[in-house]
Amino acid sequence: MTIAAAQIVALSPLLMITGVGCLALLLDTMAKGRAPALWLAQLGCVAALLAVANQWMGSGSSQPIWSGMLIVDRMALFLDGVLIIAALATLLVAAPFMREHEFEHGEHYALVLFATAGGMTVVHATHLLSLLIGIETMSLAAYLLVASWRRQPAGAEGALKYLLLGAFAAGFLVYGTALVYGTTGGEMSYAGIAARAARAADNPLFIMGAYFLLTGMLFKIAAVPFHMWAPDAYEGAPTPVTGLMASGIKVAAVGGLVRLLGSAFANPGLALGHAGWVRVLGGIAFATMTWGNLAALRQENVKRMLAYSSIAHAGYLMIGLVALGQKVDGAQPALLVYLAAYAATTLGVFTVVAWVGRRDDERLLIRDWAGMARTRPAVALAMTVLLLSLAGVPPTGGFFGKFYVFRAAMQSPDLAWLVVAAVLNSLVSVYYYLRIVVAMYFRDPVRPWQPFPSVGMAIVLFVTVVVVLALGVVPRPVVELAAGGLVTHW
Amino acid sequence: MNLAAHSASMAETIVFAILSAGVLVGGLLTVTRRNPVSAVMCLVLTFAALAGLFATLSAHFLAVLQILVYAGAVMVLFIFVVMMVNREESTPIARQGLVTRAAGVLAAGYVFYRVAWLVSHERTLPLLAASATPPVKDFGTVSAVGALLFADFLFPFEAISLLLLLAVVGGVMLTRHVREDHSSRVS
Repeated sequence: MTIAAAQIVALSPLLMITGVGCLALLLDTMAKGRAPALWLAQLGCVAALLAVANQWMGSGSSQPIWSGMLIVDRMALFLDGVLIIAALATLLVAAPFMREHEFEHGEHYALVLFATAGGMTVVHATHLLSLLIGIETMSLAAYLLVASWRRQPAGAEGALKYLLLGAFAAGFLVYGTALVYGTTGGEMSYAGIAARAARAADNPLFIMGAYFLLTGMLFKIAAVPFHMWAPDAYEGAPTPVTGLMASGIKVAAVGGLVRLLGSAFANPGLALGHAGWVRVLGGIAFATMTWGNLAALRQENVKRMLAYSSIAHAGYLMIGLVALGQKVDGAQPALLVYLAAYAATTLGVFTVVAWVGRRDDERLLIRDWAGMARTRPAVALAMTVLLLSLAGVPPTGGFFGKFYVFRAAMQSPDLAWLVVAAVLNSLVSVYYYLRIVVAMYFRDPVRPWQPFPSVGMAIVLFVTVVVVLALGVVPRPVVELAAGGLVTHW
Repeated sequence: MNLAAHSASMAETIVFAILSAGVLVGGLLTVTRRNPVSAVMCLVLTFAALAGLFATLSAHFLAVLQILVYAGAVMVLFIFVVMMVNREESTPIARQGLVTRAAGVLAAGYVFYRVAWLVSHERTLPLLAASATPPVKDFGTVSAVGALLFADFLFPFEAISLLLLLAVVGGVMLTRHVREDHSSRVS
């Protein structure tokens, strides 16, 4: 095989992120201080964004490249954009956070980029091997990032739980890959699996392999009952890392699922048949959003509450996946809009959580947030907007994301119950999101908040609020971008 | 039936049975031993038997690699780590509750039941067995594996190097001494 230059150019965003990550590691050992590595990583993100835009203009080829390993289509490029922006925001927030809490280390920036590179591989993957490697790269970087705050015992505990259960999930992925490979007569590319799926669908071993793959992926998006690790890992991780896990990593895993379910396992017999994944996924979606919301109601710790809220959002996202399995028109762009809005909101929310804490005083309990509106009205207002977006109140991006996904699901009469359950769940979620708002606006400050000055955090917060509001008021541009990203059927 | 062919397939079955018994017993012992060193030794048994299975499937190069890399290098690393760390067994992370345990046993039992059912019905199922034809002439040789690795599987081959780099960086990062404790900290 000769490698055409076009194949390398098509991967330029991924190569840039990986290469800059390696350079940042090197630069960190040679340069004085942490600043050069940080600047290099941020510049790399901007350059990779430009490369993504370049690929988007060229519209790429809709055929898998690298012997069927990857595809560079509009959906992958859209999600690439979201992932890189999430990485950039994480870098901007992580630097002041680590400085304040005095655990700065240069590997952190490289790890954020490597996690992003893994996520980009996942959303491009059209082959079970590249999916597996992407997932593992992303996860390994995430385990390390969770454990990186060495003084924090909760971080080590969360990281260990995440690592052990994650290794188990990786086992499911590998076993599922092996079963699918064996029962389709040696196929690992999505196109090959899809071609053989009609015949293999009668084979229980193939079904088992498909469900093992699904289990491994659902673990990564923290769907019930594979969510046990999430609250501990989210709480123990340094807050900017929690933001990255809730936004970038979830976006990548859902993107990988969209591709896997939308092409390899899209066969109607497989999706809707006797043991079809559509029904199973519907049940899991219901369990995930309900459990996540009910558990969030009881939390006093803001980070833990947001962890359960992120589990609930995985449930809403799965409604989109179920609609995708029902072959509903517009399910996929709706999911992409939801993912973009959710990622922007989550990054903003965790920026505020990261900003509130000071050295040796993280202020993570809701009562610590009392009276914040009096001392810092702008930040309190921004947080309110972001929380309303998470709850899905108009005119925010979160509302439109949910609206599009639910509207897509409503087109299939089988899914009406799921949409009703999701709307009821959203109502429940308003209660716990508003608890934070009430604390900020209507309680007397116990300990006045004095945030450390940080331009990076202010920029991220401002941009995310603007994006969330823009998505709510003029959603059209993003909706059109997402609609340009339909999975190409090959 | 040809007697020679019959006895050959008989021998194949016996070898397969012995090797898979080695894999299974080794695996079971690995997860049940309390002493980490004996657990690691049982893992060696699994790896060696697995290499034998590869060899019977005419993947000779893979069998050699399995011995060299896993039974050789990786095992030595494991043993070094076990002996150097030599930690007392701490409380297991596994969930202790009766309900979760029961759920685990039920789920494992169900999967086992399904697999057992499948194996017993194998003949009647539409198994898409890869191919009944014998493997191509240079199957499993160094050059054939190399050609696959650098042609069809070039992307995963390169992408794995990032994963390995990440593991190295992570190992260094997590085992380094925490410097900040004796820096500006006064409290």
